[in-house]
Amino acid sequence: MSDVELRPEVRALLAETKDAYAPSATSRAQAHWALERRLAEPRRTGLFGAPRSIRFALAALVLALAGGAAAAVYLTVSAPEEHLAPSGAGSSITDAPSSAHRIGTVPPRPSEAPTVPSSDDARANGAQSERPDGSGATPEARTATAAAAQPRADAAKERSKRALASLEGEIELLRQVNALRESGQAARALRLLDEYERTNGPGSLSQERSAARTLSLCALGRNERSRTAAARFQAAYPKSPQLPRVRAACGLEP
Amino acid sequence: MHPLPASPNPPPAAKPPGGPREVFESHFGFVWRNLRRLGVREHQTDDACQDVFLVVHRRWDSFDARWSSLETWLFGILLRVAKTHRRGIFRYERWLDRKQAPGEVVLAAASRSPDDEAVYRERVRQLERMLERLKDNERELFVMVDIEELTVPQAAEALGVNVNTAYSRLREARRKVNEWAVKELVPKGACPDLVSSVMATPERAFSRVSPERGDEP
Repeated sequence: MSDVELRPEVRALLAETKDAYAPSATSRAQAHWALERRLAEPRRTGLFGAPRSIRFALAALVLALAGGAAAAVYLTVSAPEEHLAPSGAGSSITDAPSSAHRIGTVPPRPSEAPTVPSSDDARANGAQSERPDGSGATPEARTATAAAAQPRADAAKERSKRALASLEGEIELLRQVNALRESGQAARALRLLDEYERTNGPGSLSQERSAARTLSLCALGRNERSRTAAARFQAAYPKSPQLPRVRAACGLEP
Repeated sequence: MHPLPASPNPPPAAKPPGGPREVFESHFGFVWRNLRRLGVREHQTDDACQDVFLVVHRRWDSFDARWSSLETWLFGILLRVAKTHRRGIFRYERWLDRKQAPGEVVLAAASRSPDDEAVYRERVRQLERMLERLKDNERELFVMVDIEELTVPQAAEALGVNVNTAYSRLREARRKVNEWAVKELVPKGACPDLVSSVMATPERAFSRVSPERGDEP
């Protein structure tokens, strides 16, 4: 049924690389230890047991909804009451309760109901109708307020998205750096850290990055530079859980 | 490449006598190798391996006579875990320019000389380049059938797809791999068919040049 045969060169390649990717004894021991530890932990259920990507997506959604709700509240509070009230003598009966519910206002009688002012009237009465809270603003002014609030809400949403993406990137960065250091490529680990900090600036995990940098420096050799870095780390983060590891790796006295 | 099983439904596998901890001992290498072959990067393999065995512990009761072998069941788990980790890699490498991403670390074996080690590393890189040419679903089939030597029905069972779909994906994967091999593995200027015939039956090809016949200079 599968009538395409593999070429002999491919078969030779597969045979030669049959034992590629064999795990080392250290990897096996580490995985065994970590697995036992994870099995001993109480199993997280519900949202906390969901994969990290789903948790991030939900957090982003919640932040976006909160931003949207805040913008909506802001617009509602800054909108004029007249905008919600019935306009014109011909307003329907169903509109009346909504204005009557407002505290401190008396529902207008049909004969006294305000009429929609013409644009000239609005301009003439502009000075009287303007209120400090902006509730007496003209429709154009209200549109302008709403238009000004929208970019603010968008910017807040964008900021929260960026923060989440950056945190995920930092976690991946630290994994890469640790893997490189443990495989004896501490110089590459340092270059990766430099590159990240140059393009992204200070992030949320600066303490962890600082520890990773110090450990990489010490892995390159215990010299004056690495000892200075370790001492600086100790001074900056005296309560860091990584401090014993840094001390041990760099030969620093407690 | 691999003969079809005599029966379309292979006999069901008996549950291994040990628990999931024995499966960890016996199949750790199998899981690790295949995660790497399915595109999980070295620095993530440790985590991915733990994820696979966590699922093995939690779903141990679901392994029953419906599965044709323990490897098929394990493949079903590790395919999903590998997919999740590949998505994470894709996001990370999109941020970090792929050219700057640190290369993979191929562990050196103490038994090989430096020259042999260099050749071996190049062969592993060739394998990686070859597997990267395949789509995810073709790669999964290729790894299971042509590298791990599962039968196509077993691979289809692990993937949860129809056997005919599995055959069609495998055919496409082999076609792509053969095309790549002609470009990358056959020396420049050589006739691919001649190289294939020499590699397939080297004794016959080289027997034409024999000292008895006076062909040797």
